[in-house]
Amino acid sequence: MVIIRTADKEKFTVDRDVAECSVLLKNLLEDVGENEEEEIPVQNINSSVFRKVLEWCEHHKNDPRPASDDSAAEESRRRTTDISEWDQKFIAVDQEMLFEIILAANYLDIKPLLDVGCKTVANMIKGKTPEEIRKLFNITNDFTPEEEAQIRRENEWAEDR
Amino acid sequence: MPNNSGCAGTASTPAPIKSHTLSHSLSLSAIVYHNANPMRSNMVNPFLDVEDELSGALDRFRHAADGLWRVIDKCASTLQKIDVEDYPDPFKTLGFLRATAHHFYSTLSDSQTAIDKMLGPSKKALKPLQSHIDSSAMKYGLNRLPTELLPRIFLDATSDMKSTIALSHVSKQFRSIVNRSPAIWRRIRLSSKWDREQILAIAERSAFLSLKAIIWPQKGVSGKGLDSATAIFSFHSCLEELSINYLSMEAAEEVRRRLGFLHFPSLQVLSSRKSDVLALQHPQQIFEMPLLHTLDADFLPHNSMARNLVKLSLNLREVMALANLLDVLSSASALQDLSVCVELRTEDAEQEVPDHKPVRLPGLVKLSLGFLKVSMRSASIVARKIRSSSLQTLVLLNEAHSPMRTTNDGPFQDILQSNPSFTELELPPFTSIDLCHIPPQVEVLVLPYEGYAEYALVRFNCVGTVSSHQIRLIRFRGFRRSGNPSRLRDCVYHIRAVLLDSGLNAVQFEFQDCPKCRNGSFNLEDAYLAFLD
Repeated sequence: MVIIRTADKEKFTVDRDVAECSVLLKNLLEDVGENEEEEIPVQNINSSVFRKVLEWCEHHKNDPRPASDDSAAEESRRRTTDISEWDQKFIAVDQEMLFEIILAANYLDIKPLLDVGCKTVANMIKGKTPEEIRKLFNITNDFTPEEEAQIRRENEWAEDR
Repeated sequence: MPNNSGCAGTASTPAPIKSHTLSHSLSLSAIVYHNANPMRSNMVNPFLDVEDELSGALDRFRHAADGLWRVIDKCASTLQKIDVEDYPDPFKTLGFLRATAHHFYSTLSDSQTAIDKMLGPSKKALKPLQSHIDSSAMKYGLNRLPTELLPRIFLDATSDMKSTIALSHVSKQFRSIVNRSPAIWRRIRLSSKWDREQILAIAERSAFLSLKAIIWPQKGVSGKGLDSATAIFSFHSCLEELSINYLSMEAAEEVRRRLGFLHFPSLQVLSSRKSDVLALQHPQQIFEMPLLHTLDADFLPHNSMARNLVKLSLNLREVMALANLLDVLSSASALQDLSVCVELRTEDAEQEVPDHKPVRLPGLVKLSLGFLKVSMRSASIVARKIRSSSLQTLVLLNEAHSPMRTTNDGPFQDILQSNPSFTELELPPFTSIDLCHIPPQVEVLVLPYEGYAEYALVRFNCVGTVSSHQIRLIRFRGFRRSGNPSRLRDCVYHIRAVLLDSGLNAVQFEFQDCPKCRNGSFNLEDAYLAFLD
């Protein structure tokens, strides 16, 4: 077991194999050795998000770990846009939490969880028109008239020819 | 005087509701929101509209509440003034109290209705506020993400020209990210149906690397179509995947006249139909496609072109000499997936055992054999000349699209017995299948079919013993659901009887590409129900 302290000072006692889903924590644990008393601080993550991340790690603790140097396997995993049923339920959170999970996965270096988060955001974008995407992200069309003219030309590209 | 009314005790007027307190909070929220958001110039701020609506509703609510409290005060003071001695008749006293309570109740009820009415617009006004908060979280969240994650998300969010263009037309920021992400654009195939400007723009956004392209049929050797094809061929050294359809010798020569001889050092996947692709290349450099691993062609490639092929599909247009075909295949020693559809010349096809050395393809896992006419003669000769100990899947393709029947001898059995290592067998659509004609080592039988399930199921039969058979899975592909449920039921009973008679009652069924069927394997009864779902 290892003790992990979040940014809001909450302490979590976590199985080592669960914590090692995170490459960052795995490296830190290697540094502290077998000293179970030593707390590992995670500065950028608060307890509510970390609890959620731990839930994911607990479920996936027996998954094969992606090799850090196997870029082809990583690319292949990323290209699969399917998200498992469990992960879909896990990531069905409000949008603020979704981005917090992505940031936490990025910080903790949990590639498969980062994939799930990024694909979820991507799936929210998929199939939408520019106007719908603007509405989704609350973005104003800020193109200049010249850019608008180019965009009108490019719209013809998207037609099925 | 006893304070005999609970109302009197609770009728102290609460602090008046100040609508400006909330509106001040909202204004503050808007300011905080704007300051917090680094891209506020892009934002539509709905707080001001919401604030106006809420302020108006709260003013109306305050008036209604003031009126309510005035009535309650009045009731309370009236009740407090009641002196029992003034009302010696208890029934009269009770009547007065009832009347007072009724008045109070009806006033309260009216006030409740008024409050609900007042709150309605406020609740309505809160809806866009909530959705705005959600989208603010999205936008704020998006801006908090490390910059390297956005191209990655955008790559997952796009798959074709339409989705890519849509994303690049959202805003300057999105356009900049999309247009500077070559990986997004490289998935789009350059097309000779596009104009030159578009081809150049997409190639540029792909960073001129790993390009994919398709050449559509040309009309003559001049005009826009050939200009576009020429524009695509000008990137010949960057092309990774190329599909050429109906490029005549004349058109190929015109391209060559404009661009010179072409070479394709990066080409990995080539598909060619009725095209003289080889005419594009210099005779001295011909077939210089060192990275080519997948070829789908209707011409027989040169040996050097076949050397590194992993997947080869040959649908040969011309009657072929067996020796030439085997010569090319012998140089393709890396092949894992081979599909051949050929009509051999008569002198080869008529030989009982053609005198050619068999080709050994040690890595071949899948072999597909097509026959163009009803006769499988050519296919069986090719099958007998290919040796592979690793073959797992044998596929028969009936390019003649005519009904066929399994038999116990002839070319059909020649094909099945030529490579005894395979355990998966795919038969063409419209095949009447007698299970005893299927080799005993087959574990998976695949049956593609476009149509109703019962028309395929009824084609099963068994007129001999299959006790040593190992079929464990029959996979149907491309079925639609049943057109006639009662007929399907009859077919299911029929096939069950066949399988039971054959001792194959544990066979599982699997349906691929059936929109009405669940995924996975089923026993026969479940399969029946799956079709009827």
